[in-house]
Amino acid sequence: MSALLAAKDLVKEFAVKSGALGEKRTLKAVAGVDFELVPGETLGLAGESGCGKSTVARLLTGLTPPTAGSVLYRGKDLATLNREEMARFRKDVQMIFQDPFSSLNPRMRVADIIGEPLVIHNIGTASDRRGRVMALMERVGLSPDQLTRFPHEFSGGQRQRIGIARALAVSPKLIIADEPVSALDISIQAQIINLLQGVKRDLNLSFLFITHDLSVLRHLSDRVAIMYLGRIVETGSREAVLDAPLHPYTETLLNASPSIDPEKRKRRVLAKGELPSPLSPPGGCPFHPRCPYAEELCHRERPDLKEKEPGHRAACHFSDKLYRSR
Amino acid sequence: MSKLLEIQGLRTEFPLKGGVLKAVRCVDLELSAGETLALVGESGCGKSITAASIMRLVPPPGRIVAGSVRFQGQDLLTLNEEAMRGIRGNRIGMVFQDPMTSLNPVFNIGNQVAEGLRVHRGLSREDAEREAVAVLEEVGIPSPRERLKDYPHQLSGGMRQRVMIAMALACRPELVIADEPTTALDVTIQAQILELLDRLKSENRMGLILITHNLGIVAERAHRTAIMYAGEIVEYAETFELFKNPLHPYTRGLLASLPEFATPGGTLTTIPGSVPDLKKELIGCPFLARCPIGDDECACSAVEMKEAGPGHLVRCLKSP
Repeated sequence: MSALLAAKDLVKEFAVKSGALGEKRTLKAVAGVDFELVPGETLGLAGESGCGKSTVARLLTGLTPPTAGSVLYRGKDLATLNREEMARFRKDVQMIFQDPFSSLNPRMRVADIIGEPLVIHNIGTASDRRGRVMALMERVGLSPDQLTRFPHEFSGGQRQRIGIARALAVSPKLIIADEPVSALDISIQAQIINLLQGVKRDLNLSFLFITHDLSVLRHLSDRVAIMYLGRIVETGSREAVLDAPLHPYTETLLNASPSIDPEKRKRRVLAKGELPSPLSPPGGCPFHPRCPYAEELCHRERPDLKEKEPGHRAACHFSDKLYRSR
Repeated sequence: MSKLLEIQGLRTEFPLKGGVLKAVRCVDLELSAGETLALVGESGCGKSITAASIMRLVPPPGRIVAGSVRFQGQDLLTLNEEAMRGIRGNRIGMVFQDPMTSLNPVFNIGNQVAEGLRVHRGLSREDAEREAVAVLEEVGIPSPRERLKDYPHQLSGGMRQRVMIAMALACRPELVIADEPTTALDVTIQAQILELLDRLKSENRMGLILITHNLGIVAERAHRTAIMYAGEIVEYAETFELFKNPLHPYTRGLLASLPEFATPGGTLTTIPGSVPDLKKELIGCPFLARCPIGDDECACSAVEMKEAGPGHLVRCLKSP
C-alpha cells in the first residue's frame, strides 16, 4: 500500500546561543529520520524528552520547515504543495496536544473551539456547523448542553475530549497525537485511550502517536519507532520491538519502565548516566556512553538503521551478537 | 517494634468561597523505620495534602482540624512552630515533585544543601560545605566539589532531583516524604532515582513515604500501600497482597484500567464518571456513583475501615 505520509531523511537544526559569550551553535533536534505511515495504521513514536519526537511532529504537520530532507504527503513533498493542496493537507492532518490546559483558548466557548476548524476551512453553513459540533460533542462523550461553557469549567479528561472533537471536526485522514494521555490520571487515561481507539476504528484514521509511556505505546500502536538523540534507533511491529528488542536502548527503556507484573521485573540492565546534550552528541553510536554493551567499534562508528529481520530494523553494531542467541 | 510514624483520624480542610473543601477526610497510617509506604491516588484525592499535613505545611487557608500525627511518639500537631522547624528538614526530609520550582534559582546548590546543616546542626560554613560535598557524592552527583557553585538551571532534571534528595537527606532524617519524586523525569532517569532512594533508605534505616500515581512504581518499591480516594484511605495492605488480592472496587478499577493488563488494541476497562466534588457534603461512600457493586445501603452512612484479612484493611461494605 502506498504511504499516506512519509519522512525522507528528515533533518531539523536549530541555531542556539550557549555559554556566557552567547556563542552560536547548532542543535540537531532531528538528525535524519525516515519512516512511512500507511492508511489506517497507528505508528507509535517513543523516546525520552529531548530525543526529537515532538520536533518530528511539528515537521510532519508542516508547522516548521525541515533543514534538510522532506515530508511527503501522498507522495508529494510538502514544500512543493500549492495553496490549494496545502489547505487540503492542513485539513487532512490534525493534531491532538499533550496539555489540555494550554491547548484550548480560555476565552473561547467550547462550541467555538470545536467549530473553528470548520469555519477556517469554510465548511457548511452556520447551522450545519452547529449540528456538526453537537454530533462531535456527543461522539467524544460530552453533553451537548455544555456547548456554551468555557474550557476552565471542564476537568482535564473532558478538555482532552474537546481537543479530540476539534481534531475530528474536519474529517481528517491522519491524526498526530503528541502525548495525548500523559497529563491524565489512570482511570481517565483509560477512557481517553478507548475513545481514541474507537474513533480510529470508526473513521478508519491513521495515527501517529507520540508517547514516552511504553505500556500506552504497546496498547495503541501497530508499529513502533524508538528515537534517541534525533534518530530512530529501532523500528518494527509492536510485538517485534517491544517483545524482542534488537537495540540496547530499547532494552534499557523496557527494563526501566516500572511494571505491576512481578514476572516482568527481572531487572537486567539499565542505561548508565543521562541523555547527553544534543548540542554535542557523542561520536560513534550516539548511545555508546550509556550502553551496557558498548565496545570499541561503537566509539568510532555510528551504526546505520539496518533491517535485521523482515520489517524490523535496528541501528546497532551488535544486535545479532546480543540478541540472536535468545 | 514501636512505630516511626502513626497518623490517626487526620482531617484537613480548606474553607473556600463555595464551601469547605474537605481535602483529607479520614487518614490513618503507620510506618516503621526502614519501611516504604506508598500513598496512591489520582489528582485531588488528598495524598499531597496528607504529606503537607505531616510536615505542618498545609497552604493557607487550609488547616488541620482533627487527628494526630505521632512521630516517634510525639504528636507533631501539638508542637509550637519553633519546635516544628527543628523537625522539618532535620528529622523529616521532604522531596518534592518538581525540582525546578522547589530549588531556589538564585542560590547555588552548595548553599542550598549546606543551609539545613548550618541551621539544624550548627555546623560552620566550612564543615557544612564539606558535609554537603559528601552528601552530593552519596546521591551520585559527579565531581560534587566543582558542582557546589552551580545554580539549579545549570543542571539537568535528573541532577536537580538528586540535589533535592541530597537536601532532604543532608541532616540524616529518620523519615523522608517523597511527593511524586520522579513524575517529571524520563523512565531511565526515574529508575536511577528510585534505585538511589531505595539504597539510601536501607543504608540509613529511614522510613520512606512515597506518594505517586504510578502503580508500577508502587508495585516495585513499596512494602505497604495505601490507596486514597476522595480524601480517605479506601484500602491498605502489604503491596504484594494488595496487587494479588485487591478488594476495594476502586483499587480493582484502577488496576483493570492499566494498559499493561489489556490485550494490545483491545478496549480498556474504565471507571465511569469522575471524582466527587469535595466541597459538597458526602454522605455514605464517596465512590458509590462510580461503583459497580454498590447499592442503597452504601448511600446511608459513612463506611468504616474493616479488616478483610491479616493486615489488609478495606473501606467497603460490599467487598468480599
